[in-house]
Amino acid sequence: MLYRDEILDHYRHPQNYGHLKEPTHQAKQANASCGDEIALELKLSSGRVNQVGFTAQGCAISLAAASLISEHIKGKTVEQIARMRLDDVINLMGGELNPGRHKCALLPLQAIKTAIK
Amino acid sequence: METTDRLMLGSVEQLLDEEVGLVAFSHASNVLGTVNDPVKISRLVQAKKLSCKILLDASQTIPHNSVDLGKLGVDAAVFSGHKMLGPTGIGVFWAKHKLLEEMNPFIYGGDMIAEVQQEKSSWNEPPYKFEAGTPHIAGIIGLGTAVEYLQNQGMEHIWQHEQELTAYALKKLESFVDEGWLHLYGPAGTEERLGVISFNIDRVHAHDTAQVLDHYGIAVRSGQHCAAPLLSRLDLTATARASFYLYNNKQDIDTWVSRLGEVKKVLL
Repeated sequence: MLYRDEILDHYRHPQNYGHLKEPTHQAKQANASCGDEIALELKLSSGRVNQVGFTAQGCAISLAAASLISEHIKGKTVEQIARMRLDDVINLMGGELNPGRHKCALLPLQAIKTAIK
Repeated sequence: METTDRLMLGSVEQLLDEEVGLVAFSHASNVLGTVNDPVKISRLVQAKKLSCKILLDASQTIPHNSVDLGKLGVDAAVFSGHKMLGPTGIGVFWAKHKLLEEMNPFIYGGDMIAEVQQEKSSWNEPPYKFEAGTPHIAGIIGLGTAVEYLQNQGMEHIWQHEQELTAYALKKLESFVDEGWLHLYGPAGTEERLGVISFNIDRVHAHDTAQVLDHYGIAVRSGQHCAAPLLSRLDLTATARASFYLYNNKQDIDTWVSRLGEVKKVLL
């Protein structure tokens, strides 16, 4: 099943949840078809992600994806993040995600990409 | 809307004036299952003696009950093929003949013209004047076969069957509602209600509910059901929705109901 323990763990205890003190970049994204929302904050220094914070409302997949991605992008450069695609998110989530849930998992990445634009 | 999930018909009168060109409403809600009374609504509209036309969205009722469009007081109606065992990409626009004659075509192509001259042309008669170009032949044949199949099953029989399943399901869900972890939306009983049940499990997103049920071979829809304004009126972000048709039986409902607890176990 899609809801493996790791995914559920990130859903119940999302990493980097909350606001940053002095974010340098931020963005909000919403999925109009299901009401999911994410507000994302980044602190960049010399083109690398130093800190990540997010608050979100949504399904288990979007929250778990946000948590996993927020961990993944720490220390990454803006260029590296700009190259991230759906497949990378699916891999972070364990390699299994049916097409109906792609939008849920992509929402956090869209927010990150909007923030660094 | 009233709190009972019914339309507030009292407001129809106030909403109508000379500026209104079209009154369009759904025969039944695909989210709540509420069935509206087109005869009643048409009468309210016609009593105002305005020039507006009345359009009925019958996509939710034609597949499930015997509907005589000519007796509902509406000028036009629409319904889709894929909601009645037919193919996708095809639907029906029905209107009174007089209205079809008055209306101008909006797509031009083969078969929709009667005569073409250098300076002028004239339209073919309805329905041809609205069916320009190569028709969706396979879709038309498929939808025709679906209609025949449903009529052979008997539309009243289908309606009865769905009513029975809905009553059975609502009864089975009662205890979960009482325990406080299941929320149901829509009219309380089966009266003037379709066989659709929108629901949410407390603190679980509808997409997650649907995903867990899917794992057990149970297909429910989740999201806003193409009815975002209604969902926001109900202060909801999404619902999961079970819908019944002639191929469902009580065993299906037992399976669905028995797995709802599983959703809770996985996600909470």
